[in-house]
Amino acid sequence: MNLIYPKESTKLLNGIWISLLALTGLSYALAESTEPLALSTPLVLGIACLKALLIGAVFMELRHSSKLLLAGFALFFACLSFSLALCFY
Amino acid sequence: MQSNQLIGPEGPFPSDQKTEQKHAREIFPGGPLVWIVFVLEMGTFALFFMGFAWLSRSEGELFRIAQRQLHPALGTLNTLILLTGSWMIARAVHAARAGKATRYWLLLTGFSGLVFMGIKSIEYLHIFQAGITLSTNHFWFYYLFLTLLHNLHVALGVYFCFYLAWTLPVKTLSDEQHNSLSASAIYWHLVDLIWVFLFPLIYFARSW
Repeated sequence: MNLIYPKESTKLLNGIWISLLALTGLSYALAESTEPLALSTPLVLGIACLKALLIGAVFMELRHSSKLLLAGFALFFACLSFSLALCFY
Repeated sequence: MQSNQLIGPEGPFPSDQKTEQKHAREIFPGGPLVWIVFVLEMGTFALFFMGFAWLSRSEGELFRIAQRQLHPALGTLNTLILLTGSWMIARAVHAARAGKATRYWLLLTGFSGLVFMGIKSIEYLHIFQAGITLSTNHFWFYYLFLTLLHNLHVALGVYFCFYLAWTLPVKTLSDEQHNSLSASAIYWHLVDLIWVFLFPLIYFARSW
């Protein structure tokens, strides 16, 4: 049987890539600013979580997979970011 | 071009083939085996991340001093390169689904991994020249151990990309070949996701 595959649009893939690069730049700017914010650590970890979700949902095609897998993926990275942020306070 | 169009190796499927569509949506992208690897690898790295964060709390001053010896600009550049690699392998999967050549995208992804390792080597050179080793302190143990382990994963990802670029046919792929490509893409994204968290932790995160 020939399986059929979900296909993302090129525009969406390019848009997510640009967003990921912009989020990385934002992390750098936040952490390296002359007066770092007290919240910069949770912010950069939150940005990391957002990047993970974008990669998972679009690049890894989880948005076309089962909702349970996508929910588990999102929950794991949200918990990881939150736990790491807590450790720094 | 329509977004989210469902296609097979031989072109678009008619929209009334709901059974096949359902089947394709229920499976794990890339197959279950790569997801077992994903969970084990990500879980292991997550535990090390927690260990790093916990020690950073108790040895905050030491971690801050050690962090100042790193080069955040190089780390940021490496992140941009690895994310670009993720985009390129996603484009390779996209090209395969559209019946187009994947070789170009796979080779570029592999090269992005090589550039990543090259930049990391420059950082290691600075660190080792400063006399730093795994036993210098907790920060450097975690930094060297985690980044070297991550580099091994990048090297394996580079191997997969070059191997697929070499072995996959130029255009139409079989279901098995589609699955191999998807599994390799998931592995590459795993390597990227590990770095997405490792990067802010080692370069930017500070306890207050």
